[in-house]
Amino acid sequence: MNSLNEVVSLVELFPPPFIFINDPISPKYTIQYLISASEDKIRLVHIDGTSCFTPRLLYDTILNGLSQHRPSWDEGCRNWSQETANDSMDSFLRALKALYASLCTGSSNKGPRVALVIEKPERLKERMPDILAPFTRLAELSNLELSVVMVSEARWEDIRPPFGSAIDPYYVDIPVPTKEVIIEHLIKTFERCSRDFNLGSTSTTPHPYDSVLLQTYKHFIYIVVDVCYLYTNDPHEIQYIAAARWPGFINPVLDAHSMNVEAAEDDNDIEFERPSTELLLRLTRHFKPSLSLALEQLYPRLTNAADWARANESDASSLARDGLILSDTVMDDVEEEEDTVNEMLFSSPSRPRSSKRIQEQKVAQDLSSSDIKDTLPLSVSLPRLSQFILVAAYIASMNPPKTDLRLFGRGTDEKKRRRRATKRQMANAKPKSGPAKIPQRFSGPSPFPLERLIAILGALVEENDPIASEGISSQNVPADGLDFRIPGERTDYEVTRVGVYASIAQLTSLRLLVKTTSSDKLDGLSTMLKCGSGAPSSYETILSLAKGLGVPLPDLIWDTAAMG
Amino acid sequence: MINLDDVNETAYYIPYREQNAEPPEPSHPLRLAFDLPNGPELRWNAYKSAWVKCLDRVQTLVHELYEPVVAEVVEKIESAYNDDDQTDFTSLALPHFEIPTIAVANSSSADPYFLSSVIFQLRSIAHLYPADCVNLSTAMKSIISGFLSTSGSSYRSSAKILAAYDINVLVAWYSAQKADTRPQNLILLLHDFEQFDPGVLQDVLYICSQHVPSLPLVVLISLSSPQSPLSPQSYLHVTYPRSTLKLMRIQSVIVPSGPRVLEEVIIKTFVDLSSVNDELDIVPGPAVLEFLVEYATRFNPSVHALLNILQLAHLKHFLTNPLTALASLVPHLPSGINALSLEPTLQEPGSTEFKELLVQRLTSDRNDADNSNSTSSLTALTRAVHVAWSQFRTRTRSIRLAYLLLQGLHDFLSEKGYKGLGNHWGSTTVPAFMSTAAQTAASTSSSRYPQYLRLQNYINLLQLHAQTHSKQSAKDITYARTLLRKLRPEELRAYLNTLIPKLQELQNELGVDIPTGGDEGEERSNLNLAEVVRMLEEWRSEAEEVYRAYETVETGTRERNMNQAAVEKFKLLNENLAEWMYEYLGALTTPIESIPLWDVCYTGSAVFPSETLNPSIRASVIAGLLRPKDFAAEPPSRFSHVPAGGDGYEIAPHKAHAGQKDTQQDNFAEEEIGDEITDDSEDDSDPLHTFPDTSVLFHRYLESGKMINVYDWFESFHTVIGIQRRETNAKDEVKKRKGKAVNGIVSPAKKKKGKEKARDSDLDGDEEMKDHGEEPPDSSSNSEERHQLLVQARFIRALHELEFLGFIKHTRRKPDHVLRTVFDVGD
Repeated sequence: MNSLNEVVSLVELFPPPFIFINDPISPKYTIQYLISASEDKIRLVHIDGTSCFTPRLLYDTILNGLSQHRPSWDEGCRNWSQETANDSMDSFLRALKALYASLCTGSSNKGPRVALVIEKPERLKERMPDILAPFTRLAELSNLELSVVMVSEARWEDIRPPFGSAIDPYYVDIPVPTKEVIIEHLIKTFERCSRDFNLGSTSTTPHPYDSVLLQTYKHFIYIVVDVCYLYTNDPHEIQYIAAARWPGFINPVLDAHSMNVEAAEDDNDIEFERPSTELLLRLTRHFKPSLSLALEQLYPRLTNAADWARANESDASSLARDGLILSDTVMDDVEEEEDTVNEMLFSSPSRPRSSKRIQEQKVAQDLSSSDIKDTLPLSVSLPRLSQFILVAAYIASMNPPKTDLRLFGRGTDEKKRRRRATKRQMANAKPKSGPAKIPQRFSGPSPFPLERLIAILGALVEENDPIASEGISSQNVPADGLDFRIPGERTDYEVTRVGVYASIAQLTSLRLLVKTTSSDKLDGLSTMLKCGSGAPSSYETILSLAKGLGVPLPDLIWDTAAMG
Repeated sequence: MINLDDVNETAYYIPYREQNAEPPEPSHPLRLAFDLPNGPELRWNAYKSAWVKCLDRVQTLVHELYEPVVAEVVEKIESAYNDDDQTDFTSLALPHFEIPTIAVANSSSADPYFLSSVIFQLRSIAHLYPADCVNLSTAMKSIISGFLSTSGSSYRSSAKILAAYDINVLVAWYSAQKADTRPQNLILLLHDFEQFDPGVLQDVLYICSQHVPSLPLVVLISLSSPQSPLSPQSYLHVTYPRSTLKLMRIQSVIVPSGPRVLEEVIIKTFVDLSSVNDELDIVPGPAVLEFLVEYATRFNPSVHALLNILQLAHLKHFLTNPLTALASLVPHLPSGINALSLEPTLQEPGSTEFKELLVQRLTSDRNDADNSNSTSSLTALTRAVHVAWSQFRTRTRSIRLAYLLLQGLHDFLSEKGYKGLGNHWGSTTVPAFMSTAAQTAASTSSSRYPQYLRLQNYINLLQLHAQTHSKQSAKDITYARTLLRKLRPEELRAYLNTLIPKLQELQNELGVDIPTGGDEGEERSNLNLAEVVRMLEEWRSEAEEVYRAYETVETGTRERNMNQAAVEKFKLLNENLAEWMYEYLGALTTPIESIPLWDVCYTGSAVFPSETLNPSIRASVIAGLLRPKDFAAEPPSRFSHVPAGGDGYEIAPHKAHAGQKDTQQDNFAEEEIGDEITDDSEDDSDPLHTFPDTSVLFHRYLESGKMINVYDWFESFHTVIGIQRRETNAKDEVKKRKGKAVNGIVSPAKKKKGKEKARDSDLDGDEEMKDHGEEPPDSSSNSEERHQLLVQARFIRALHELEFLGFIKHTRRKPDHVLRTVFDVGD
């Protein structure tokens, strides 16, 4: 973070017109640091490339931000500028000069240092490519002493406007945050929380962010960073995981303290002390496995921190097993359990015991966390025909069209079909020249016409769905008395029902299938579909669906080897 | 008059004028044989009241299911910004504030009632629809104006004030609200979440996240997917990047739906006896229920589908059976419309047919001669109807009771850890937390009949005595007897203890007895509940005794003899209970069809009109093109009114002659259904040239290869038209010779011939065409030229029709060829 401090001092002392900070890991963190470091030294406006999606928004944000003007509803959301300042670059520059002049107060007639921090400048480039170049030259154009600081995950080379219209920036590269930086950041967070909490409440009962616990927190942070650093080095992500785990981690200590206070009753003077090293080690041993679980679930945001913390509160018995419940009263309750644990301890060596404990803990966590319990597999939630359609769509997406006849053709000429297939395989075995073909599973699902889907569906239903092909129930006899003598005719009748098309439309609205052609085109090419991303294009999901339906999916995928 | 020769015009609009159109008859298609004079009206009223009742019941049940979920969503929204301490500690140290987001899976596909009742309980909601999200500006604008409108304000932007899509407007508006009237939180409801453009929505969420918590936004996502929004493969996680997901604190709620819910609703509506005093008018028979089950398993397990099917079943029931008019005539039927009573209606002169049918049904169903005198007088007839009615009610109840008894026995046994009546009665021993896994296992292992087990058992019971169906229920009842015999003393006691309260409860609710009414000839052979309960209670006290005796056996060994006696007694008791249950179930499951007039309120095994709900489009289109006259044919009842006059002699001895007159067509319709007509004139079907143009083209289409040369096609079409023309000329000449007497009657053949209609609309005047058509083909070159043009136009029109139906496709390579898209199954 030294480089950022340098930037701040530079802007304060001798502002370069344009600074470009490249932080590929955590630009958000960098900006927060920058803003907090330059507090009361520089008048700084934070502009977000996503939020300011039109020039007008950009100009308004800058002018209102610099003048620290908050548009109020009673004044009709008036902007700072009395003139129209947001319709072009020229009027903006004029207003900017006027604004700067109004800021220059006092005898020295010298305004404050002004800096514009632009987050996500790459979004500005996407939306308003013309505006980036003038902004790099803003100091020059407005003839003011201000600097523009851009902070981006991307490099300047990728954003730079063409033809050298922009001036070259003062480059700053932020290195990957080291463990020390992250720990320092987390400790600062702790201090902030402890300060906030003390301000907010007057109660004397200790809370997780009690300043007494700082040393314990440091220890905790070391472990968290150790576990997570391999996977992410964004300080915010590690902060997220730490925030989710810390209250649960320290809770046994707090509980023990409050119990002590209760036991002492009259004597209110029991000092809240930081836990002993031994206790700390026990806590660590108890909670360390849940940290990697937290990483697995929280980093991809499969759940959120608050819910995760609630779902992963340790229950009394597992805490007692690790000797983490200190009060005697609770010990009585869990004594029985303790006994069983002790028995286990005597009867088995310690190593398997701990692994078993972890397993138990994991099972408990799996069952308690809501997201896993709620996950309904597709095979339960979808009606039968929709499952068939998904399998057919997968086959159509993954197989080249010319293989359909070979895989599904069931003529009288079975022999001929086989021979062709083997011939083809032999031809495949020969080394080929030309560029290597990418297996379908790497290139993702390919689009297919609706008719092909219906045809494959028909083949699947004919061979694997006895209900449709046999017509067990009397309901299957159509009202107009058609009887089906040609094999496959009934299936053909079944798969062109309105219900099938409705199911396909339904799956499309669920995004399990994706329509690749526009819906307003009636003639010309037929409707093209493809498997939606995620579950419907994953081999495992479809395989389990197919197993439920009795479809031999591996036999129906042309390039089975590539499927793995 | 349109001048078709105007070279300045590129297109003409020729409005369709129907020729020879008869004035539309007053629509009385609902009129049936044996109907009452005001039968259709009566049946319509009966349908309405019956259906409204059924709809109400189903909707109430569904809404009851939704209620806890609605409460959960509302609670989550309201507590989004005031959490308890635990969360507070967690969220205190988070790197940034997360937008509270509640993702409701399944809500779009569920009843709209769900979302509306959530909305009803909240205020300050902005709705965002996918159509509003074409770009970021419009999306932001509609969000802001949506929130502003909740307080009745609006915002008009100008150059000196903030833009209308600037979120700072919302911030300013919110902070200007008075503290007491200020909404607790602002709810942004995203409808049909799957349809949103993810790119736009990402930015919207990002912008919103910059302003929480000072702007207390809560995002409510309405997903249609049934999956949990928090699984790694869910739509949210697959579509949106982590950078967006981490802005939100997503909590998921799943609206109940799918097969389980549906089954519960059906069982509660039609089977459970809890609502026995407020019966539905119509009892769906096994055919309807079976279709329902099949449709729900295969196509759509939604409540909408259920309601559609039930409504269709109601409609069909009241449309096809004249006796259903009784439903609104018999006063104590709970249909609500009792304006008309039965007697005066039957006295009306027009209702003799109906009366006869009624008498006939009452006597024949009863199947004995004694009652024939009871139906002679009107009062007796009315009484007989009433009796039949109440018998019907009790019969339907008793079947339901039988089902509940069996289910109760099964549940009891499986709770004790036995297999019960078998897997097809469902396994209830699955622990709650395992349920999803068990469901998965069940559905993957036996996916053929995975769902609707309970309903299927009920259907089996309804069909117990039908010959065609499997004897599963009979087996179940016998097996129940076997199981009851094998009960151990403590189990016997426990079973009686669970059974008796249930029956007592039922008895209290009913207030009347459930007679079995099984014996022929006797009006009521009561096996009433009170008696059953009395008997069971006796047994229970015996069982108690036996149980105590057994206990002493276990504790001590004194008094062997008494134990021996107890064992005997217990055996007897078991045997009694088993036999009683067997007989009772047997009596309860007497088929509903044995009651006279059962079909007034019971749909029985009448086939459900599945083709109406779920037709096979392609098959219908192809059938229509192959046999157009089956579809255009008028109903046979009207043929009888057409005088045979001009047509009779035209039924030609040889087949090449125009023979599509009515009588022959009737034969045709009977013989040809089900056959594929791939060729004309070879078999005994109509010759090709009598078909409409599109159909003619389609027949040729079926004979061709993969690609069709359009010119060849046209040539073959031309030939057919040539035959057609000669036929018309020949006919006209015959007509001329026969004189005007024949022409006085409007020929029905002319009315319904598609080809003539086609011709009519091709040319702008009927007379004009006729004039040319009647001229001999070689009268003048001008007429021949016109004919050529006519044929060409008709060909192009038919071709376009086929193209519109999706039968042909063009290729770029061969402009004079078209691709065939449909191939016969037989090919």
